[in-house]
Amino acid sequence: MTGLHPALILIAAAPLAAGLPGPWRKAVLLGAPVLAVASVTALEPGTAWRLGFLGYELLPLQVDALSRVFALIFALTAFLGNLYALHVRRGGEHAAAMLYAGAALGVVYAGDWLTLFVFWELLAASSVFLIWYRSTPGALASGLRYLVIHFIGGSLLLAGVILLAGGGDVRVASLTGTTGPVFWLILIGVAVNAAIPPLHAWLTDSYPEATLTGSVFLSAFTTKVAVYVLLRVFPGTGLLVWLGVAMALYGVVYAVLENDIRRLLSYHIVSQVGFMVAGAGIGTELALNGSTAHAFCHILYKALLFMAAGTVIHATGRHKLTDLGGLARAMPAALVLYLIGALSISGAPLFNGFVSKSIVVSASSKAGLPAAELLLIMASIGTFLSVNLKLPYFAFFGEARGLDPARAPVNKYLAMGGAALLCVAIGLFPGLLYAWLPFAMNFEPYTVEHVLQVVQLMLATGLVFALVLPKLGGQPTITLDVDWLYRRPLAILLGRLVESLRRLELGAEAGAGKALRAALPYFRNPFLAPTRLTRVTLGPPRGAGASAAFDEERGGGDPAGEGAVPAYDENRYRLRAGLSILFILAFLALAAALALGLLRW
Amino acid sequence: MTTRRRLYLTLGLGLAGTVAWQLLFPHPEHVIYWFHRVPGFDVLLGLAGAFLLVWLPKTLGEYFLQRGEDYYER
Repeated sequence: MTGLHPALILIAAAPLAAGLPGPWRKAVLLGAPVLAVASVTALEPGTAWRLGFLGYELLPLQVDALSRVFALIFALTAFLGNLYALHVRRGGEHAAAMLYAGAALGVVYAGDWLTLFVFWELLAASSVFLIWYRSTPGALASGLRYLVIHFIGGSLLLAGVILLAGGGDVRVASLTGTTGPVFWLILIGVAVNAAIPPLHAWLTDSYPEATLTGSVFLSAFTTKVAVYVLLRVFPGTGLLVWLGVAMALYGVVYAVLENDIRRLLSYHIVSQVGFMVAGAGIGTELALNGSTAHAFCHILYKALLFMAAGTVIHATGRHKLTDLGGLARAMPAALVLYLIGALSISGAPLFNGFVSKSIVVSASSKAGLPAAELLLIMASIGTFLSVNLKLPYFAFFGEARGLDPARAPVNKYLAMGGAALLCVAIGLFPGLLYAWLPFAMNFEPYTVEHVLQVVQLMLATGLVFALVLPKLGGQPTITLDVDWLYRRPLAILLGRLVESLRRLELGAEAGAGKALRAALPYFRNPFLAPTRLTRVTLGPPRGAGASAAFDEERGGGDPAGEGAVPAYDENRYRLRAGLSILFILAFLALAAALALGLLRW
Repeated sequence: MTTRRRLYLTLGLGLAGTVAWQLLFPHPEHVIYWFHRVPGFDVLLGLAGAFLLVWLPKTLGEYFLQRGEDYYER
């Protein structure tokens, strides 16, 4: 074994982040990701750790160009995310974030399905705490839905892995071209984490409910880990092209309706991941490089956007466009940093999204998919409309709401500055990113035609925005999505089922109580049953005053006129009852001994 | 002239300028499909796409998707 496993560095640092006091915790929060970045850069492609387990050869660490570039951005984001969250005093939240980042690194370095599955489940199990730490009723309920859906997805993945393991080979390899149950189980399991509609609603339901710092981590890891698996396992699967295109448009359509700023950004995660999924489906070297580059750039600008949104919410205590407005003067740095993220996600020249989005769109064009090219450009228009125009206009420039924002901690601005710097650096010098991509790159994004194209799209969208501005303001509403199915009809159905079972239980309990009460006199007085049986068969006894004991036993009179039952004195019958029981036990023991052959006639 | 009119004029002139550039300096080496050859195609796509991406969600929202904020608490 050579080097340090970057995932294990972050996982080992998690308990330290939880338990150490202030300054030491901060040192761990910044030092561990730096060590992870150094470890990622030190691990050369071709490095592998091998481990025998139950007859399988496991590869907990296998490095190639694809895993290397994803690991780099995950480790960098762990650093930026921890820097942004440095002021947070909840050690448990820091530990959850470290475990989450470690799990993401564990998946990208996993060379076998068993290792991959373990880290895959750790992703969900650790990240849910970033939602629950918000501690609002909405966060607790949303976190539970998040966990259930991810465990269902994980179970499907596990089913596929078990079927694969039955064949004896658990190495992570491409399944493209196969169509059996393994292909579908693993694809659907991964599609849940990639948030491919209709399996996406967990994302837009939970990310806006997470802690302000937790949503920065959430925006980076789960969906991009899934994109990594799609690129490695399903490259060139045609279905993914159209699923990706549909995702890209789905997200922007919903974002136009959103009033909650973090939910609006969450819908744009769905949209941007659509570009990556489409690239995985196209499957050419250019497209796979494009998806990888877009994942890298997306993590940076989306983290920046969530950081800026979190800073606004932290400073104002408000998260809806209808409650925000006029913040540009009070929060100029947050506005500038937000706009860098927004221009990046919109693919504006000089920013990283321009480079990565251009590669995917160009790959679709060169692969003979003009419809996909046009629809992806449409999705870009929607992104510019919502993230670049709608959100900043109504939050920073719209009607002033008399807000007096609090000062945000300086570490937040440092983290945003770091992410913004990387967005601009990659936008200006694409070669910095190209050097890390899995295939050699010969793509020039800065052609006159391409820059003009993007400028035209942006100016035209800006014109439409100016024309329909009053229609685009936030509304105090929520938007129904696929999660409606399990939050409304399924919840009502389950509620009714639980209510029916409860009524059944209560009915059975009442019936059993009634039967027990009816039977109690017979246990108290062994004479009662034979006496009543005799009366039923032979008629009531004759003789005066015979019912006194029976009356006493029943706790009242004898309205049925059943007559007397002798009172039972247990001390009087103790010897006889004991001898009878002893005799029965002796008889049963004798029968058992004969049956087992221990005694013979 | 109002600010809004100035904005429309600036955007309109910017769009016209980019289309004029495409007409004057065409780049046939980047053409793969017919729409790459049409000067100003992206202006039309941008205008139509942005209108569609406002109209479609708003219509869907008004008739099907938008509900009161307490919808799931009721």
